[in-house]
Amino acid sequence: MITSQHIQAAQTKLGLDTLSPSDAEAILNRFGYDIVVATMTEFMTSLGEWEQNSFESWIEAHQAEPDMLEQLMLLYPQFGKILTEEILKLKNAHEVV
Amino acid sequence: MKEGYPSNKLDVAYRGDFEDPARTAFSNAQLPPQRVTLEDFAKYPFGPSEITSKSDYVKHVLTWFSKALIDAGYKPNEVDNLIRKSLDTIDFNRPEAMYVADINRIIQNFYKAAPGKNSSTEATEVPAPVAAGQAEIIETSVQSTPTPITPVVPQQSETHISPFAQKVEPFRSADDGVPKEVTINTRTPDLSSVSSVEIQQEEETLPLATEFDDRAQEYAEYGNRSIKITPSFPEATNVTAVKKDNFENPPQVTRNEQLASTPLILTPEMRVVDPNEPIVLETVSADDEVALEKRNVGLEYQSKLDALNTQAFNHEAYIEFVFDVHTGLRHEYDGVINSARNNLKRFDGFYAPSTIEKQALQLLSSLQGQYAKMQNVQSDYGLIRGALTEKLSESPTDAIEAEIKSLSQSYLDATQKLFANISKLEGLIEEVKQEEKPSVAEVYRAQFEKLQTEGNQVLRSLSASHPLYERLKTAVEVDLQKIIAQASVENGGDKAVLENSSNFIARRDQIKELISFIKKEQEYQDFFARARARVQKLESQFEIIPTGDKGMQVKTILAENIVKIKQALSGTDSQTATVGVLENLNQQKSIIEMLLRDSEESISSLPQSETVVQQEVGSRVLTDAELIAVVEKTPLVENMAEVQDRYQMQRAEIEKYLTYQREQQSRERFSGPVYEKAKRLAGMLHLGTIGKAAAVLLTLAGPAGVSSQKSDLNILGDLNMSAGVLAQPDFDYAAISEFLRTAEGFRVISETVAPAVSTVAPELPKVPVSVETVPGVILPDMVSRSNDETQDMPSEIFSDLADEVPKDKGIEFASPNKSNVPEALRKPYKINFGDKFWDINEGKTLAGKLPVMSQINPSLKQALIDRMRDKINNDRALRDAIGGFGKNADQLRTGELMNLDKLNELGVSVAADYSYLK
Repeated sequence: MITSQHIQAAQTKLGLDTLSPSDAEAILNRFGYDIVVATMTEFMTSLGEWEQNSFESWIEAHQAEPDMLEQLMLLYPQFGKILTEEILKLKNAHEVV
Repeated sequence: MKEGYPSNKLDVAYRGDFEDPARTAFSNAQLPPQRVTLEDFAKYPFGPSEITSKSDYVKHVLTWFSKALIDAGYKPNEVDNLIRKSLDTIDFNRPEAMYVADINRIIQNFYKAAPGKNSSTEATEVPAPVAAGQAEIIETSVQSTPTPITPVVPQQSETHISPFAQKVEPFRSADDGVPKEVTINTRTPDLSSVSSVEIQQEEETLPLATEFDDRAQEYAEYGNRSIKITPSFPEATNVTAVKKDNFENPPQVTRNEQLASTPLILTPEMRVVDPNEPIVLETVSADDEVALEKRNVGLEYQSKLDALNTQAFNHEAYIEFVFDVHTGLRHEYDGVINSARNNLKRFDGFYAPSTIEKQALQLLSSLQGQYAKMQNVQSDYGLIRGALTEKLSESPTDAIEAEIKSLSQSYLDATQKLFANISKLEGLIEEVKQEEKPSVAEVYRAQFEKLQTEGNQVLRSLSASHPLYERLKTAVEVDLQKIIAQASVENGGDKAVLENSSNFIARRDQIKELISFIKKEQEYQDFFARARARVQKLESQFEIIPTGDKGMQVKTILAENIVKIKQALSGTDSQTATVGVLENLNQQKSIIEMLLRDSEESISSLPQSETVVQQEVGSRVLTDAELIAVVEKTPLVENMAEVQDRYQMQRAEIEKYLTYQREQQSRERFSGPVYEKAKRLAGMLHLGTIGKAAAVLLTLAGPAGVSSQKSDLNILGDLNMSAGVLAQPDFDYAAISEFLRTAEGFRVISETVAPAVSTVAPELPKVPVSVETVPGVILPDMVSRSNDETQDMPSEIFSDLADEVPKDKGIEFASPNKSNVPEALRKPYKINFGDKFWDINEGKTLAGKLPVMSQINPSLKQALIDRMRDKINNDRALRDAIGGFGKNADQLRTGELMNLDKLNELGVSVAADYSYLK
């Protein structure tokens, strides 16, 4: 399990601790965005048209809910699986670079 | 054809190329239409070939429809809005057949709901045709005849010709070969049927209750005359005399407007009569009737027809035959319906039907559906009957005689199927009568156990903090358990139940009501949760609506609505079961729903230039350049020379990260519309949480995790600062997955001191069985692939699969639409976003009400829906067969089609199982 200590340590390693909170958050959001775009693309490619529309509707309807990500992963386990795998890929990022 | 007219109608009217004589009686010599009424729209549906695009729709429908609506009695200032909310919402990107069906359905609904439907038909003027060679328009007018008993003397010049009329009744002459009066030698409809009277008194007993109305309409179909039916049975006469006040449309049917506006075809008795002279129907004797019941009535009619066909053509005899079949079928149908009502339910509320009884109920439902379908003039049967009626009204010629013979056979063939099913049902009812009934105690026990199962299911789905959790837990695990033990055979249950049945019933009903309350209350809570999300979305949209004229109007509406919605939502927390709670919640729900829809429609009404644009992803997520810039221009860094080296290294690592991402995204999949959609949706997720996980993994980048200082992608500041923590785990799939699902509580971006964190992984929040916290849509394939905690709960709720009735292959069904679902419900219903299972059943969606809900006592509605839900939850094949469901009944797939006919069948079956039917 990733704990807050791990996150804090990671932010320090990345130098985010030297940034303003909003900038640090912006960078984390960017990381998250890259991961999610890759996940969404792969997941939605596997769906039919109406399924895509349903998925899209669900995201739009629930985006403001605080536990949205949890719900999303429960409701669309395949999405959660891809998302997790995309994050795991970062462990091997050096090989790509 | 004149541009813009409804094509099928105008083609017929102008060109006179009437391929189907049953659909029109216009001839080439007749004149083109001048008016288009709502009735015309309703009577002559569009075909897929007529509306192949939206422009066709505008041309053929929209142009004329609003005028027709106004003429039909709709308020002019409401018409545009009604059309905008109905017809204009049709999606023309679907197959033609689908959207044309929708158009026809909506038109029918307008027609049925028309304020002036029953008044004299007014018409909408349409522009006169201009093309050369087209017939001139002749103004026609409607003449009213004040009393029904005035003999009708049709005047051709005064007859209103509907532009889209399928047929124009022929004018009779003294020597047209059609008899002026026909003596009907048949049995009377069963006017002494007690059920008919009872049914009429109980509005809820649809469709039986409506059958009489249907019958009156059916008579009126033929009727242009005042009609009196005088049954020859004395007792029947008496019943009619006594009870007729109870009927809105007693057999004595008078249709003034038809008398006035159309010439004659045939009376309900298929004869032409002086309206002042009552028609006396001769009947067969009682003995003959009994004998007749024992024979195959269908075969008997076939024999009659064969005899007619072999004799010299006797026009009158065919008329008699058709009516004979018609009334005979009615008589047989009434009889078997009455018999079913009296014999197919026992032990009200307890009795579990036997296999035979289930078969009988299933067949009963099918039969009612078939019969209802026959009443539709657009059905095969209706068309045959219409064509036959028309032919019988014309002067006989050799060609017409041949057609009459052929149509009579078709008519009888169609009727035979119902006769066969009626006979089959009679047989099943007789078998049911002979069956041994279960003991009362046995039935009680079964009910208690099922209630316990249901209670347990609700309990599992309920949060322990719910105000009623403990109360339900006690009721299910203590009280109900005690009752079941007392009712057990070992404890002399039969005696106990019989002696204390009132106590048992009282406690059972209390628990039942408690469960029912909680379930209903939970449904409301689901709705309110979704409403909160919707209002938040409205708030965010409010902020970005441009301040144009229309935009300001919408903003004003939104501001007012948002306040009201929040006010309504404020008092909707879970509450204890007290009087009026559900009513109050329901009221709040209605108010909120109305305000939400009003707000959402207001936004969607914005012109393109003022359309609310989703917040751009770029405004939340840094671009590549911005990402670098943030690192470069951060105040904390720029004045700290001592950390410049570290900063330079960070920048280099960020650039490497971007290189990595570009490499990732250079693959083929990162292009096209899906990718664009993914980018838009990605901005709606909680990226910070995911970013944190990514940050942790990035710092591990390298073949050996913490040894990543050797990695090319070495985003390292002070490695020593964090190596202690990061050296501990090499995060795997489970660790990341769990973090993502539970990390919402972490807000550690700028934390300087990490809080003490338990080494025990937090538990997942409790997920209700029916996933009621996540209502809405679900992709079944995705879910079915998953083996994790989202799997279905065990199928244990009300399932009585062992008793499932195998289909009786001996039953003949004329059509796959076996239940008495109204025409509107036969069309597949497309699930809309926000639809709920409960609402579909109750008719609170565009689909309309399921007929089965009218066949049970209103107090049992909730119980029926709950049991239907359980059946659906426990039977994937059933879900697939009905369509539109995800993993359970509460997960509806937006955009998918649901077979409401099948859903109704399920309702009938369940209602039969639990003796909910009236």
